[in-house]
Amino acid sequence: MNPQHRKTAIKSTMIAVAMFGFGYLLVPLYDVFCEVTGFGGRTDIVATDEKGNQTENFEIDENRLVRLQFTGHAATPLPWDFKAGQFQAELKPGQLYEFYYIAKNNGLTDITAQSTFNVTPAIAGGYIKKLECFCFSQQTLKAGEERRMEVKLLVDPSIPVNINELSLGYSFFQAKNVAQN
Amino acid sequence: MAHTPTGLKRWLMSTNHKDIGTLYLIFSLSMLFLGGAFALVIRAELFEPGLQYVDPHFFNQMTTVHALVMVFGAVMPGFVGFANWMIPLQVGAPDMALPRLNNFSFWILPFAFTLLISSFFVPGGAPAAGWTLYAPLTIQGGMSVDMAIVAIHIMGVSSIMGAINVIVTVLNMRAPGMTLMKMPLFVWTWLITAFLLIAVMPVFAGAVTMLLTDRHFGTAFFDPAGGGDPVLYQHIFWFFGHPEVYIMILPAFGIISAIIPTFARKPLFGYSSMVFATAAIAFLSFIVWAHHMFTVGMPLQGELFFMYSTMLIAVPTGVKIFNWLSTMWRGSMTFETPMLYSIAVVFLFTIGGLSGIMLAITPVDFQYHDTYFVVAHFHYVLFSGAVMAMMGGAYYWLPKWTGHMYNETLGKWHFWLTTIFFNITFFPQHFLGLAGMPRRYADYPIQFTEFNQWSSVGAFGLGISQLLFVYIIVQTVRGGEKATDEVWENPEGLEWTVPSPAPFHTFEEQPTVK
Ligand code: HEM
Ligand SMILES: [Cu+2]
Repeated sequence: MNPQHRKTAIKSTMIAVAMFGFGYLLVPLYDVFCEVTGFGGRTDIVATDEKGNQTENFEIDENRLVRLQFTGHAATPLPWDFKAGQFQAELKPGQLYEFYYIAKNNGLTDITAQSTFNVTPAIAGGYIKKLECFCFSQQTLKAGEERRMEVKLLVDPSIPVNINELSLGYSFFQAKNVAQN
Repeated sequence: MAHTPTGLKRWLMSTNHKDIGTLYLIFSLSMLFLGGAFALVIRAELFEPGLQYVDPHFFNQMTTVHALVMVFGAVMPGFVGFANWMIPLQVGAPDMALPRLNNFSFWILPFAFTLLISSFFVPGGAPAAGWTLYAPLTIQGGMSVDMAIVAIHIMGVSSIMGAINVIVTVLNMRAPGMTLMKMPLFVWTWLITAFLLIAVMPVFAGAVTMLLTDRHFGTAFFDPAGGGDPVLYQHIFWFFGHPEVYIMILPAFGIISAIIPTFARKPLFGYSSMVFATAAIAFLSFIVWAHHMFTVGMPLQGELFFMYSTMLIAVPTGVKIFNWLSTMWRGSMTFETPMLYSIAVVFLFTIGGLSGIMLAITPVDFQYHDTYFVVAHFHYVLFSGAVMAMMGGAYYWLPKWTGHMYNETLGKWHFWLTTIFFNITFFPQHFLGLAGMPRRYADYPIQFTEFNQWSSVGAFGLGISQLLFVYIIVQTVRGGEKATDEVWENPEGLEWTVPSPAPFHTFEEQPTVK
């Protein structure tokens, strides 16, 4: 082959190969992007030490109340009942709040599932700071078992003043073996 | 002196750019009929409300496979066919730079489509999730999804190889004196398209590979059960998908930029602005993808960014439209079939561009998204943009390819039938979409009946009219008035300096361009 042609062909092929890699690079990029912007309803976590004690402190804003609403959903075909223990709550930004969901396995076998979460409006995601959540890891329920699942969070006091009502949704999916993110 | 091979071997082993071009064009035309047949199943079912001929699941297979066949089987290979035939002739090169690669990139295509089509016969039938193959639905589908993924990989490899061939040929094999800014616009648009192809086809390949590993190998890129995100699939898909729509239109711009000056008997107005507009469109096409995803729940800043960047694309697109109009302005125009097609493309593509601007307005897209308005939009840009430009190009260069003039009367008949039936089919879909009829459903409420009937009647007319196209082509290949070397009146370009039909080997000694 003409060496000049070979050179151009190799360069173009390299672009194509690099772009294949770029496609995969979009996965972590998207993750970082969501973390930074709260895009996709992503939430933040509160910094803790290795014993799980809160190391990051927020001043409580006594002059505001933010309303949180909770939803829960078990995605087909997961045979679980899954609902919030309370419909809604009002809290002051910066105040630590604990609540729970109730999950029950109606199946005949033990089942492991993973919950995802979502905040609406999406832009508020980054202001929800979690300390503890059943969604951080996979949960296993024995056949017929019912369990309370706890969440501990606070709303960042720097949340924009026009956001006074948020909903927090959790969905359980039958777990796959490998967790990607 | 090289000899001309004959028989089956000529086609199977061909490394000749003209033969491979012919193969691509025949393949593309066959796929146009196959994809068209699927479309007619859709239109037959939608002639009346209720379910008449097919069940909804099969209907969804039809919409999915129709689009995959048209995009990857008819439009893209069609343009590669034009590239193979015309780029060496237009830059004064004896052949494509990488002839064996060229043979390979064509011959893997029939395998890819055999695989895709045979997925109709596996349990669960062909893919039915739409041509966009959105996760998580495609994580759940049957084995046909895997077949489609493998088929897409093969099509991707084919078009990447085709693109590399174009790049190497254009960059290295131009006749002495043909600087980049002297290249015909068709060559320019294809060069830019080729860069788009090598930039985004691999991203699409990556996306479907992630789907495949999510389905079978325990990864969870898009599967929420493992911590993945289905919206991520949409981002990766449309990062490919929007440049892909320009891959399907830029070569069409090139074709009509060749035709209009010939029949207006004036040089192309604003040549260098055409080149820059093409490059600008290609560049902008990378930063507008999320206009397909306004309704997924993006933050306001995201919605605004993608709205404005999308509208920005209308500027270079407008430059092109004005240049074509200015080329025609005060020209001594005649209206042979290729010119009729080109004028129709300018008009109808502009309608598609305008509906595109409407869709780009975020708040109204919440209403139009996933309705027939979108279907109308992309058929105006893809059928009356890409496909009709190829038809015009076929009439324009057929005399050079075959050595015979086509039958002008029949050509005009074909043009008018196609244009009228096209509009009967797709114009009413704007109204359906505005009235709220969603796309990809086998049934609809009765208030949508009339417009759907217009659309279905138009579609059958449009489909049947294409038989005339085949008839005209066959007739021209077989015989007819002998074409001169120039074919038209003083057309510009090196392709008109070789005999008609263009002999098997041309430009073995490169011409010099002044
Ligand atoms: C002025 C130029 C254009 C603008 C502003 C524009 C804008 C848009 C927008 C906003 C959508 C998304 C609509 C929705 O799903 O709600 C869309 C869809 C689409 N456009 Fe365009 N467009 C333009 C040109 C083109 C061209 C040139 C092509 C192809 C040749 C094209 C092909 C498509 C296709 C295929 C879809 C639908 C994809 C799908 O959902 O299946 N568009 N366009
Ligand atoms: Cu787009």
